[in-house]
Amino acid sequence: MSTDHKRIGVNLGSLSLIFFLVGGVFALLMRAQLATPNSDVVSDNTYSELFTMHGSTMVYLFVTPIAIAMATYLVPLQIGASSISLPRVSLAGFWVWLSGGLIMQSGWLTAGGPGRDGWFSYVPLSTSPYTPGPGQSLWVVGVLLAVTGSMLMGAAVLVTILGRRAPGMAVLRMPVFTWTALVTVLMVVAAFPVLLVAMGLLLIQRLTGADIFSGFTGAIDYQDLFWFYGHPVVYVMFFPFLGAAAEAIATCAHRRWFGYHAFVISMMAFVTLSMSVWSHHMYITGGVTNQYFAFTSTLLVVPAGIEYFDMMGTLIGGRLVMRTSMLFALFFFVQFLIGGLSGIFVASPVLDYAANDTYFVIAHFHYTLFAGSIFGFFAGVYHWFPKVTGALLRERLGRWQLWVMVVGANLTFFPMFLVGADGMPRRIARYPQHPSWITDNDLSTAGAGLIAIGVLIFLVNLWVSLRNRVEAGDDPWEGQTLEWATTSPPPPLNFERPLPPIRSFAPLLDLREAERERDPAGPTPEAPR
Amino acid sequence: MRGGAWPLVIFGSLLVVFGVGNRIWTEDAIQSATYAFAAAASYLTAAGLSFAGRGEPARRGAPPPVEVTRTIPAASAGAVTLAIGAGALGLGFVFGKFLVFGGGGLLALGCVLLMRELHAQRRATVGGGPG
Repeated sequence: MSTDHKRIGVNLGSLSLIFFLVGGVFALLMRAQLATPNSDVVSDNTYSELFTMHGSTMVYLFVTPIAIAMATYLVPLQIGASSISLPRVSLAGFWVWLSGGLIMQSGWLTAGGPGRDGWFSYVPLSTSPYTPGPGQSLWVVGVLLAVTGSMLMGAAVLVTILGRRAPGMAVLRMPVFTWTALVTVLMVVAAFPVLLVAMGLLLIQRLTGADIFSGFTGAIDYQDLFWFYGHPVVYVMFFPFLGAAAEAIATCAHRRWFGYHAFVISMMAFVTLSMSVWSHHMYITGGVTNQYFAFTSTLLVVPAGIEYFDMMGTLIGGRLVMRTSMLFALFFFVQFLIGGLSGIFVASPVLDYAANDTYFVIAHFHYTLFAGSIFGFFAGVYHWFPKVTGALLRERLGRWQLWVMVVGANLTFFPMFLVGADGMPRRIARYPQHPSWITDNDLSTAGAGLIAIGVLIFLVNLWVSLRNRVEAGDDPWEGQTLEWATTSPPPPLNFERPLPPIRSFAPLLDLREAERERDPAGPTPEAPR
Repeated sequence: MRGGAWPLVIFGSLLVVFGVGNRIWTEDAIQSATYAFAAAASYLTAAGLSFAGRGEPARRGAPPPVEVTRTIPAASAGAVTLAIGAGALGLGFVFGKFLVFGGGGLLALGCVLLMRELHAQRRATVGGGPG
């Protein structure tokens, strides 16, 4: 019941991680089924339930909420606020989201099983004549509540950023992570309500039989409404982790983030473009104008290129310390590049006609969301864990986790490009005896096992680091932003000491640089732990 | 701009630009409506934030130091009750009226608890209670 933003952030993050493990188990079951062509690990129907609940759990109950959890915890600290704005709204949002998650998963307890129409549940398939039973309705209610909860928490972050900044913290002096959180919650406010409309109408149609999304037009309208949320949410699941990776890189390079103003401009362009590309998911329907969405989708490479340019500019000339957070951040950028470049392929309608509904698309978005965002998330975890708990995570275990996950992620998702290009459709529980498909699917299954081992190493690291604590101190990395100016973990009202003067987006680095100017023979940056 | 709401205005304006482009190119009513909604949501949020800070003079940059006593709630049973009520209500739509009634009851109870909390908070602020 605490309205402390740090407690809400930690609770939301912890429960999201539990949902991550649940979604991961679903993925492992799917990979077990696909290890051989005509396997009977699960039935066709169960396979449909697994891919639906895997996608839904990851999107609605893990990646989106954990991005919001990071923003809820960190943004007030980074802008020098004593608390979050609208704390009750944030708390209510957390409980609404949790109710949604439990209701969605409760479908497993019904006789007909949970939702089984994919994480976007297109109509007419998801209407009651085609998917009868309470499981799919529970899925719709779960999505409604989970997204409402995320929206409420996002709104609290937005109001905090715009109204609670410390004196001196102008909008153009906000840290990089706070900027990424701001553009994230802009999308939450502008796009999430549209999904609530779509899900509300779908629920009414399911429960009353009303003819709302009917015929071809109804199906296209549903897809338009869904993807108006569904594409921006991909960026909700990306921007905060970009911010986390950027903070980790800048701190470990002992330099401020390169090209801050270009970064801000590119973020504003990025967020608007990401709200203007949704119908590229609908090229093959024949119900949308492909030229416009191909144009806007291709434009996305411009702001994305600026982020990469900034990252390179920060690294060049920096005094690099290769901590685990830095390595995760670098792999975030490298692996996301593969996802981004393959995105250029599927942004082209001509190529998308061939790639749509094949494993090529699965590979593309898993490179962005798993090999990209999740690596950015772990960069953030290793970077901020000492601030949240006061203890350091073990670097050796962190590196083991990193390398196992790098091999696992690429082994899982790269073969999907190959089978996808070869025409293997997504969402099939069985596939023909095609020699290269068997090999590629075996590799993917082995890779999924490695990812699971990587996650297990992370859990062991958490356990060991919290049981046998190595105290971190207030600022173990020579941090640049205000959260490192308070104790670890921070006190109830965040700051007990006066804030340092805020003259840029890296106020602690300003202090350190001023100190070095006064005393050039002062202490050098610490060695890697 | 009051409250530093200019990113919202820029975001809304860029959405208008892309929305107009979409309208010219596609003439799709539902797509124009979603763009219009998103732009309106941005502008209204910006306006709401500016309105909430209407007592402050127009200025550039960060908020000034807060000198008034501000009370911050430590916990909120009302918010939690309200949220659980919403969850029960949602579940009731699928499983039966008793959950709809139960959820509705919890929602009402949550509202009452929230009003009591807000009232107590206002009293503490006026009385110069813990900041």
